[in-house]
Amino acid sequence: MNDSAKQPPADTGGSTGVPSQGNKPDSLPPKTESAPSGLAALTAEQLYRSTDLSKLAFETTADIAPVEELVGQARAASALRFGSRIDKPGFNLFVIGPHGASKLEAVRAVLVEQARHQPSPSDWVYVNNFVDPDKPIAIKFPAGRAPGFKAAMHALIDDVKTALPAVFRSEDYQSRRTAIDETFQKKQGQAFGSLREEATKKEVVIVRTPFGFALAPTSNGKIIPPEEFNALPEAKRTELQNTIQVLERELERIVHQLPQMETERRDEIRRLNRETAQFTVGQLVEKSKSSFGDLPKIVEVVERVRADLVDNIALFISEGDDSESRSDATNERAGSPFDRYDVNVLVTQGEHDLGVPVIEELHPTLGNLVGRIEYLSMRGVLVTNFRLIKAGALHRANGGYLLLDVRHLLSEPFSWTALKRTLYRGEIAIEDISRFLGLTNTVSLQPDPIPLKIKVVLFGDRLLYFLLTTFDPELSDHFNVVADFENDFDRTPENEAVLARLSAMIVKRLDLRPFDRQAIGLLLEHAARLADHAGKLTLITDRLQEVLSEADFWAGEAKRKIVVREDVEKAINERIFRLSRLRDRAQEAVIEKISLIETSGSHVGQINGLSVLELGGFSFGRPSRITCQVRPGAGKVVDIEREVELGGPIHSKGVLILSGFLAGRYALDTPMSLFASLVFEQSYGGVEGDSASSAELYALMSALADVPIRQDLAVTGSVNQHGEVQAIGGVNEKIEGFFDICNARGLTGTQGVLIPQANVQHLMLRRNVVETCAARRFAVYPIATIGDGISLLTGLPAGERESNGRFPQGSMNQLIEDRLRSFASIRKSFGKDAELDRLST
Amino acid sequence: MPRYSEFKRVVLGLQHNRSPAGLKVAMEVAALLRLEVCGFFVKEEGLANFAALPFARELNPLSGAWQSIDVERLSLQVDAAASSAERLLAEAVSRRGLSFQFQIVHGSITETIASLTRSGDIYVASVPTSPLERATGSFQLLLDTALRSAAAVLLVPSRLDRQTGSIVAVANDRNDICIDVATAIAGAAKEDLVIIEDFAVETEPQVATGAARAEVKITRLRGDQVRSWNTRDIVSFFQPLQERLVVISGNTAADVIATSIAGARRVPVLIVEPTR
Repeated sequence: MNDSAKQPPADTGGSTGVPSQGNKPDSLPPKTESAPSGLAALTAEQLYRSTDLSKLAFETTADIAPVEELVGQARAASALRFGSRIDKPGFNLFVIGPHGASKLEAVRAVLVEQARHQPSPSDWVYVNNFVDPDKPIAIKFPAGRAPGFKAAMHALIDDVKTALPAVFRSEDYQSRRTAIDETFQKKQGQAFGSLREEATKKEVVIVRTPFGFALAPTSNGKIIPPEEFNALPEAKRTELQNTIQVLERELERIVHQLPQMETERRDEIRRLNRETAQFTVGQLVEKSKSSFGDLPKIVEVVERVRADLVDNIALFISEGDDSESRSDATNERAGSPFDRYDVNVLVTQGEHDLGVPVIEELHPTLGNLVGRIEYLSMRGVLVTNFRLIKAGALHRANGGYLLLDVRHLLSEPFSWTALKRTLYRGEIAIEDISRFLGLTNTVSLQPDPIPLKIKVVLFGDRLLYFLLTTFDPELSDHFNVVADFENDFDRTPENEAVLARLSAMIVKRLDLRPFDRQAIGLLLEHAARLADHAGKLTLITDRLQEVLSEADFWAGEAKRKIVVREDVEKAINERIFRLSRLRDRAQEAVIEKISLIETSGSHVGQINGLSVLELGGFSFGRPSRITCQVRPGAGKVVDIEREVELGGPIHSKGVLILSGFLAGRYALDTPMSLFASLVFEQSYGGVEGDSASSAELYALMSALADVPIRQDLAVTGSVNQHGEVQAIGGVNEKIEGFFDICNARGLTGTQGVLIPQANVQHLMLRRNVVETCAARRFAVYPIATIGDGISLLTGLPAGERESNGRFPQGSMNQLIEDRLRSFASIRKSFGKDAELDRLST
Repeated sequence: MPRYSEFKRVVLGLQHNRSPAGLKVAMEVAALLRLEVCGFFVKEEGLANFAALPFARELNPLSGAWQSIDVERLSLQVDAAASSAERLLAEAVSRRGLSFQFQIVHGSITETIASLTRSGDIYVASVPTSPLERATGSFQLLLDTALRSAAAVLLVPSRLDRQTGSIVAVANDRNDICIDVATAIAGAAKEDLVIIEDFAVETEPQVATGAARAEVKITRLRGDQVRSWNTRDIVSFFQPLQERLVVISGNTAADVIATSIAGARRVPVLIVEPTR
């Protein structure tokens, strides 16, 4: 097992991401010289570019002035400035870029600054609709004045609650009320009194029966018993009956008048109550209205309240027997009768320091976005009213900016479509999700929609944006401005200074210990490594922030007040150590010859390719043995990976390019009569990418020329049909992966890696790799063409076609071409392609 | 002179024309003074006689229609009304944990009052709600009879304005019995006592119930010639008091002023030591 896998990273330069003093090769093998082909290995300066902080004078980050967060994002900043200022529908922003680029923080900082200078938007309230309570009315207020109106209405109702009962208990009211009652009682009494007098004169009385009234004949003040009545003369009986009939008609007439009299009495009392209330309420309403005289709409609302108060004075006063129910009704809880006069302040700008709000909604459910209507369970029934309308993020951000993560938005049912619908309508209509789902069938509200003037800013990665543009044509109707955040920016001394200032700002924001100059220097070099480019600096600031935080921690552990380079190095190493278990196991398998990789000697048709594995955010390089077998055939290069469906399409494409290369370079006058098979040995998972295509070509050329390839070298790079070696990704990890194997086995001084020349600019190798290369015990060769590579790998010149049309004798190309011609001859001798095909398969 | 402690019963008629307010106040007073409740229902002979007449019919005030009266059906209706009255009373007293008795009496209501009530009783006279009821003249007859009886009379208006508030005694002199009764009720009800002194000598009124007095806040007011006040005077004077019950002794014109107060203030008026 490799020692580096057992040791903590601080002691193992072999696993660190930065050049390290430790873990230098134990032995001192021969130093690498220029390759036999004459190709020079890269110098240490080409393998690692140090930070140049000459443009920024500071001792520690405490000395550095802060910088705006939107550094290196000129394109995004321009889009942001345009998108946030253009005042036309559809020009909302879609901010895209890599995860961790602090897009939200940067955009928010810009918007907050911009918002500060804009006039505050309106407050919005909902008030009761006295005509149709199911449709609450939305009212606009100048910024910050809504709470004042709510307070004024509370004060009004409190005053009315006190004043009205007092007025209705007053002597004046009671006298007038008593007068009305007495008048009507007198009127009724007079009607019945006349009847009673008339009846008494005629010896008849009004009698109460269980269910009514009757007129009965009397004698000596008592009702005549039947036997006495029957004993009366016929004429007398008839006369009495006639008299009673006349009185009965009069009684009937009076009784029929009673409801009308009662109605008149109630009307009189109602009129008195209204007059009394009008006067009292009027004074209080005028007082409440006085502060809002400049707002005609509010005055209108107050007038409606005045009318309703006068119509509903019974809420404020109760009469005698109703006092118990009044104590219930006056209870100040939800559902109280006085709620109708309340004011639901939906949004007010008083709570913001800024000019316009900048709101971020982290959980954009439909309700959180467009607002919701809540319900109360009262005696088992769900009830609601305008006071239970709750603002959504769109309400709170109305007039300003709303920041939403598009992934969160899309993962909430109905939210994306609701947002588009709202932007299309230009007003916020509260939609009840339970109705969408058919979950409830209770009485709900239809509040007035509120006009919307907002700038929505969506944040997401590029893939989501591109998918949306492809599958949702409405996206471009609403999100016309794309702010595309760069992943990195040029590594100039000026930009290094900028990133240093940005780092200093993060240090300050996170309240970390100051970082010294060397620590920041290493951080910036790490930023270049994260960018996979020596000439670039990553703008994924979250990654830098993580290193800063961890370095601060290690400085604390070391009882240092200032974070030094050693702490940053430890932070980077520790991060790698935590994630590198799989890398170490893979290297262990090579060292123990479970995975067969040779790092010395030479073999025909066998080469060390390099691949990169990325798991859980950690990438590492791993050598793979690629072998090739050739024999006569029908001109087919078989990719075994593809045949067994372990190769991806790009890998297959790379292999097919090899056929093109061979066909274009060799034996132009003879048919291609080759059968070749290529395989990644001991590869049991999928293979994708074309970065091994140059290695495959070298193996194929070696097999055709029957010339061995050096096993102390590893190769990466793709190739085109003209034999040009093209850039690949993960070059640092690949080099380090092969270096670790060689280092573990003992460096021979001849070992190295062939990389595409175009990848030289990407090199930011680990410190121990750089130091070993500087000591010429390991080498990295830049390769431009297949010819350069094959010369280095075989020690034979590639050979250029001469004027006679042939390659120089002894060159690789001559050997290959001769072999191909021999295959053609063999094929010809067999005569039939079909037979050859049969043999091939 | 009957003192509050001599009250034993609250007596009330439970005829068809009984008012909810009357029953409610009767229960309250009985509960405050821990009195027995005596309810009665009179099966009037005159009504039975009338029903037997061939042309007898009644006007239903709810429908405004006439219907004939059948002796047998009337008898059943009266029996049902009596049962209903007993049940109503039983429910009302049980809510307050009072003892009660109920009687069904044959005869006339005035005779019943005269024979049933005695000293130590408080007879509850409820003003009818309906004008038609009042037109029968039976209430005035009944009130006159009650005032002539040995019982105190609790005059209850058809509608009550307050259930809480001070207890007011309208006293003719410092020893007026109404002070004693009002103090007892105020103490039991934990209400303030207001004494309206309608007498010339400004001496402290005699409040006999010492224990009750200790717990009751007493306010003394001058009230000259209270018994001659008209409605406006009464409303004006009583307005700040926010009283729930007025107690007055049954001297000259007590019935007139009691009726005026009950009508104007919509509070019950207890007339103690009525004129005989």
